Amino acid sequence: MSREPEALLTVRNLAVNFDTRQGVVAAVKGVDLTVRSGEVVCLVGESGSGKSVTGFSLMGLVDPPGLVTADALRFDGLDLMRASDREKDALRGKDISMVFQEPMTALNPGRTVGNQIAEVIRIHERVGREQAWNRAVELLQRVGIREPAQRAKAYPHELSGGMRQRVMIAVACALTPKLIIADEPTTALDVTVQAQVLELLFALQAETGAAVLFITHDLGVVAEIADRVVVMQAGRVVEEGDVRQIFERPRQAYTQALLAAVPDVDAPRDRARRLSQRPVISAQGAPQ
Amino acid sequence: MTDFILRAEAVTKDYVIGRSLLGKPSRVVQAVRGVSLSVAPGSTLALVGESGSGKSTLGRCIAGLVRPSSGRIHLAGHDVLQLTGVSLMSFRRQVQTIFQDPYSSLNPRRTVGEAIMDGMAIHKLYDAQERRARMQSLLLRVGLQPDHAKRYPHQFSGGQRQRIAIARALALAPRFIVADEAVSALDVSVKAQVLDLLADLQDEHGLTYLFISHDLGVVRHFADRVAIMSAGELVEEGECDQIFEAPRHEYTRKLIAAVPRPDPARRRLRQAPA
Amino acid sequence: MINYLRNHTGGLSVQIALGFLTLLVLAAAFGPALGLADPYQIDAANLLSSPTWQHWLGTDELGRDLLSRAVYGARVSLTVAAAAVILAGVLGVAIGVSVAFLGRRMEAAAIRVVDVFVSLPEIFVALVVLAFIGGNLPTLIATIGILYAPQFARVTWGVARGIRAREHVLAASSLGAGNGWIIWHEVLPNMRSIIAVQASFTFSFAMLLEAGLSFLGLGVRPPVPSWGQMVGSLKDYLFTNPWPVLVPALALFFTVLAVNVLGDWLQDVLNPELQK
Repeated sequence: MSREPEALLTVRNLAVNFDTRQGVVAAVKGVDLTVRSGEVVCLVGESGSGKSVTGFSLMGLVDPPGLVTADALRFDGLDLMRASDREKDALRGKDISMVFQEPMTALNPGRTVGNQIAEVIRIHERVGREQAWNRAVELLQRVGIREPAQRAKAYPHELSGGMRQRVMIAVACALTPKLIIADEPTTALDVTVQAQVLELLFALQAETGAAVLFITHDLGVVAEIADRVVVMQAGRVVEEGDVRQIFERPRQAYTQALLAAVPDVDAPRDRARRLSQRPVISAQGAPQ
Repeated sequence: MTDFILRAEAVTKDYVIGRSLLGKPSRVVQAVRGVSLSVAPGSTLALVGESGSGKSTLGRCIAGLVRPSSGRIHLAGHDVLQLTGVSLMSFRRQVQTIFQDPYSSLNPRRTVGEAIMDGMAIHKLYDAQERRARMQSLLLRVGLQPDHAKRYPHQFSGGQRQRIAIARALALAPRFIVADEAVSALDVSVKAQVLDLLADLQDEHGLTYLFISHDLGVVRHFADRVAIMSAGELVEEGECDQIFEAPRHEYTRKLIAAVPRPDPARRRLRQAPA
Repeated sequence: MINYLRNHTGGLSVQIALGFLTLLVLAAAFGPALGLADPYQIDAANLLSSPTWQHWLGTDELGRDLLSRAVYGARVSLTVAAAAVILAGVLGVAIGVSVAFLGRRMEAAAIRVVDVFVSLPEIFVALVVLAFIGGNLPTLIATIGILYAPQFARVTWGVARGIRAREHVLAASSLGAGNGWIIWHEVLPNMRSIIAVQASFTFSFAMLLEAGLSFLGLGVRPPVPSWGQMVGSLKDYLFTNPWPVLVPALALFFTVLAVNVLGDWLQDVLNPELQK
């Protein structure tokens, strides 16, 4: 019996605690996570579930007063808990990259988009300015931005939301990463733009064989893109499994309730149907 | 022939963005361009569109919160463009709005109980004791507790605040409610509960809803009729299932196609899973 | 809000400032009742003396007890400043908030008018007014209060505009509230912090203006003591007997400093609340 190859990303017992004035807030409480090469894993949860904090901690983006602890945190053979800052910096942007929700805050408003892409390239590879710029323009074209040479000279605020997100994807894919962590990248976009951005992201993913950890609250998106699904609630993993199993045979009550709460645009209108199981009012008091 | 509770004709709203030195408008944005629609009492019309479609602006014109540049709006027996004094107050009792952001639509300095009773106080309805009693029963109806009345909005979650907003809207016993992306900012499970609450209230009180939303899944579940807007214009309008199953306009088709389906077997973006 | 303030007590400087001001106010309010010397009593044998057992802070140029005059002076300076601030606040908030609800064109014109008044140099206007009308206490308070009202108005106008755009104000309109209701219930209660901060700064301005006017002889008239006036009469002896003039001068300095420290701290602490 052959041994399964080690996963690209292995996380065991991840915990993230924030030391606030009101005491210690545990945002993530013992999460296990595995992502294999080329796999698309969706991390699903509502607000307060800890899904975003999990994503940030994998990139080393959790700052004090947050404290990240884990029994194991391994990426591509490297032990991230013991790695030096230099080793971790070498990974970020190159082997692991991140796409954020709000491109306006993730992109530097004071620099042209071309420069920002070129900068990422030059941080990790020894290329000259002009060569980096040319690659940036190529990337902009690859992400579907028309007149890329022109657009590269634009500032983030001059572009539409969808275009900014494409730029973010260009930045994230500039150095063909092995793992892309996407934190609600399409939540703020119109649905038609979302469809285009997702199409782009997963076309690139299919091309490069990158793994994707996609963090979202939108179960429709999850169904469209996931290989595996990890459901989080209040800092813990409630359920995980492959996408068909989660949607067709959810085991946990929370997952079932979540799925029941999402209306399907293909389902005929049923005026008597209700989406939540509990009554809104009860004899004693308010359900939360 | 049904008597419509809302009849809007050729509503337009222009915003002047730039003026020349002499004050002449130089750049005008047409947020709403000649939209007409009607709604039957007791039903729900969803106004759907992406950002910039003008749906919120149209909703505010209909609710009498923004003055349209031209057109006619008759709602709940009032001519919305000619409201003053007595007719304005009477209109406000009949037509209420629930806003999108539960964090800014409640006055942070007013207790929840006061917020709900405000409408009654403004219209000088009932005495203090009766107002309090009505307020408490409204709190219960929306799933909160009477002793929540003493608390301030920041002590509640987003979903609870939206329920408070609903209670506030109901306090005047309106006939028509404009829900302007009222559930868009809520978590999935909370959204479901609030939608159910709105549906129950509609059955109980015979309310008519103008449901403004960009979420087509929710719209299909919730609306009787759907009107699609794009760039200020009304693109298509019709009965709910008809619009979704047999959309006529290209934009409508594009919109429906773009919505992700919560069923991996029907996925289109990637290969269906094994 | 009180709880919030309690949880965010500033550093040592804020606590010292608060302590100092509390003591000052208590001394001003109850000092005379605790048996201070008569501030008008002339002790001809001890002119301009340094601190002695008989006169704890020394005496002024007419032999009057400085401690007592400082305390009575505090009563006057603090009262004038407080009353002026209240006047400036009430007028300023009323004007500022009203302008925010005038309607676009009138608003633009009105705020320009307010700006003109803001740019007036207070001390000169006060000098002219007091020179003509004469300086009894009510006139002094009224002049100072009216002079600082435009600044108050400007600040409150800006904040009121921001609040006016908020959704809960729109919700109130939707319920049928008129401008009056909205101003009273929706706007003003949300301006408490900004008004508090502005009042604290205006207090120090008012205090300094009164001191300056009294120094020049146009504010509080002798023999009624006020710190500024005391500085005015004791300054002539600065090179022979420096101590006496230091008493009112330092009193002024530390009071204004304390009020400013408090105002800065209030602004920092109330800001997150303003953003909420």
